[in-house]
Amino acid sequence: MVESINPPGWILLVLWPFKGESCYPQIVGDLNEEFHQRVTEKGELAARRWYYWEVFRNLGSMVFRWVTIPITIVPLFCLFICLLLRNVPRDLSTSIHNWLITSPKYFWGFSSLSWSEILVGNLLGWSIIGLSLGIFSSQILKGHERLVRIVFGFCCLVFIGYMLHYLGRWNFIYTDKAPIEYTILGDGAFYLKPLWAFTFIWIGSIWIEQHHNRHRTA
Amino acid sequence: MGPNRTLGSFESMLLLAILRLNDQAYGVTIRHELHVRAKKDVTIGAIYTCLERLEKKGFVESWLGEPTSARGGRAKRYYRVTAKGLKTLNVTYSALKGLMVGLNLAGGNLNG
Repeated sequence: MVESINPPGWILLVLWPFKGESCYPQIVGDLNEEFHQRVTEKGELAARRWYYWEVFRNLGSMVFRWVTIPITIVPLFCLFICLLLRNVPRDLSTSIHNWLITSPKYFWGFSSLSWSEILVGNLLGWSIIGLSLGIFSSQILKGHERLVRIVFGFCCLVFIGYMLHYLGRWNFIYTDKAPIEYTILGDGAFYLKPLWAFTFIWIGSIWIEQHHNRHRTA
Repeated sequence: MGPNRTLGSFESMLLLAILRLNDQAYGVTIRHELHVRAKKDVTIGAIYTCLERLEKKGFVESWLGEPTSARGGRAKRYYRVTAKGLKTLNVTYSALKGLMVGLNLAGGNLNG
């Protein structure tokens, strides 16, 4: 009788990115079993409420599973921060303030484009580029996925460090007479795109690493 | 990994819960045991993440049970503590016991 009441399966879409995880069937099975226990003890409504809440709690646990930052990236990151603090002009804080108070769409440096155009043309585009790079490079260097992430991370840091240090793009803002928003925001887009792509390189690489690990243990 | 490696608190609790449950240790029962005895409300995901880590280290072993309709046709994964896991749990317990000698933790009096 109780087993005829099904848990709200659609909410499991939240856990969809983790469907490939080896423990996913056990997690869903356990949630279903406990849901049926709760229907008997506390009623259907309370059981459903519990189920929604538990799925979201498990989402947190599953995301945490994915966060595997290699220890080698920490000194590189510290070095980058030092480089950044050493080389940016004193009034950078004012620049960042000006940058942030403008409309978010300026953030990407495409003031004439609509949100959908920015989303599809830029965010999605760079996500696909990053994800593809992460997946293909990790497939080619099977077993060295961590190395792939470190190399791409290092390249990204070097690129941004190079732009800041040698080209002096932040200083350019004050020597040129161009409108402040345009110049600063143009630079913002310039830095953020590789960073955005790198995030997806990282995701793609971790995904492939987990895929390889699953097949190794199976 | 050294021979005297000790376990973290959550790892120890999981191993103890599995030991208590004998051959009936799987996600739901482990979660229930942790909730009732240790007053810890942890997610199933966190339990499986830690169990996978313990299994990789050779502290627990698992096997699949029969699928049931209450679980939507999904099988249970049962866990058992290995000899290596039991040994590490003992090392952890001995380390804690050694540090507790001479201390009276009840009532906040640390001077014995």
